[in-house]
Amino acid sequence: MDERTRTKRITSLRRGLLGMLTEVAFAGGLIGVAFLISWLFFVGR
Amino acid sequence: MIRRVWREDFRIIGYYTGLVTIGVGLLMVIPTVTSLVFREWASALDFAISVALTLLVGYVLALISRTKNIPGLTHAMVIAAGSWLVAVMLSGVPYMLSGHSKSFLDACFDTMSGYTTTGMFLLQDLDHISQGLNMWRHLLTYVGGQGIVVLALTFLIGSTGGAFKIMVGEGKEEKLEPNVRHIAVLIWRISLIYLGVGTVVLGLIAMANGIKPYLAFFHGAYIFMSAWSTGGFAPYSQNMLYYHSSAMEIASMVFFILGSFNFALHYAVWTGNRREILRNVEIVSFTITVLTTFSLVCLALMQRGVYPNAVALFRRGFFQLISGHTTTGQSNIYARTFVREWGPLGMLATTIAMAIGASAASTGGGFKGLRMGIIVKGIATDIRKLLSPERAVVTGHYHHLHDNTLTDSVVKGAAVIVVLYVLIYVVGAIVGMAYGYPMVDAFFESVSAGSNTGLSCGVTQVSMPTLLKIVYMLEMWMGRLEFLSVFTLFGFIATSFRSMRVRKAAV
Repeated sequence: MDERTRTKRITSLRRGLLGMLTEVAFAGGLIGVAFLISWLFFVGR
Repeated sequence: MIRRVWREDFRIIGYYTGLVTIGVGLLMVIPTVTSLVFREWASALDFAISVALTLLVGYVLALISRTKNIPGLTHAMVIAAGSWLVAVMLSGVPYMLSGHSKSFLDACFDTMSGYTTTGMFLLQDLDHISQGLNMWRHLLTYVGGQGIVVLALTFLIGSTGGAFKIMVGEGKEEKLEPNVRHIAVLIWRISLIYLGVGTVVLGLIAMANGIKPYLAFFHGAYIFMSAWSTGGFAPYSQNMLYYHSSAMEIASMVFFILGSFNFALHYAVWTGNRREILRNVEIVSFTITVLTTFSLVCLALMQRGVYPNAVALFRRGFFQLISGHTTTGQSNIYARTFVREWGPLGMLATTIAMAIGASAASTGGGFKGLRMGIIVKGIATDIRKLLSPERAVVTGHYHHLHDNTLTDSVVKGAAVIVVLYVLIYVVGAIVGMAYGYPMVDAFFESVSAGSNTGLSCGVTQVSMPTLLKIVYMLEMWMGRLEFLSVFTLFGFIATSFRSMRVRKAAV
């Protein structure tokens, strides 16, 4: 494997990993907002 | 004018359906091995018989209709819809042989539910079925989420000219790469990477909850396959309630939210376009409808004073709501809790969430967020047109992977599919009501089947009327394939009979 192919693979791997983390963070954020809504409903009753 | 049907048409359809069937037969090797590992000899024998039968049917079909011709659009649609039916029937054989299905219809109901990632089941004594059968149930739903045609494309069919058309027939119309085999491989790569991560995460949580390590791994894999494919099955009849673990529920929630994303979105985000997750019309639409319907659920549950604190409200209320919205169907409450505790408003909000569903070209069902976004943007554009000076040119736009212009034909196309979904939801509910089920229950269950969700308020059980089982199966099948290929199959069958009559008259 030459240097260029290696760099390409590492870049692609890093992008994939960051992509996965972005997706998990989005899902986590949505769950967090939902928790906030349930909490607000209890506080505001 | 509709063209006539010739023998070569049957050959093309038969050949490719045969290849998909062979793919299903090879897939059955996995539960066979699982049964052998767990020393479940009777179950292993059931699967060995099923593998032999499925491969035989597939080979014979492919052999007698062998052709080098490439499928056209009509063939592709018929292959997609037809191969799902063949796969459902043959996949039901191990269910029947296990003795846990009361009839072949019930077995087919479960396999249709599995492949379409619905999650309803009629299997008897679920808590005591073999590990092999449990693996098969979850594998069905995992493969169904990606698409059985996608599976066959990856390993058997390859990049023929008509391959992409068959994939479109299965509801996967995003052309991520020029080469169709690369698209199929890409879909599998994303799913398999998440399978590895998900199995480890959920397996570790199961271990922490006291499940033996080797079993925890299988539980992790089952729950992941069910969550990612927005299926809804679980190894035990109590579904997620069995684990009594908020960590398991949150991890599963993350996986089914991710599973409900469009594969094109995964591809964009994984290849560096990370901002797409915040800009995509589907995700924007999904976020708005999730938070709105969840607020309605909170309102309903607070009015009735069902849960004592915010954590309980979030844990039960949001899990059920998001499970419905992503069309997963995993559940951490009992089925009748919907009727007894959630009440009409809570059930209505969940029904709306299920009806809207997940993203296009994902593992999920329902109208899809893309269509909701397009229709809402279309309405907003029309209002802007009415408010603008007559000579002003007003055009709408939406962002899905790139900026797109909102044309009338795009809005019309989205509206037609939404109307068809509403139609099957209503038909299923009418049949339910005709059998005496209350309106709210009948709508809830029908929308759950048609949107491939699988949440149940107690209507789906072995003792329910046979016609209702068939109607729900049709809803699952049509909802999963998004109508076009199913209608083409019906049209093809009708045209075949007409062509036969014309030929007989000519003789």
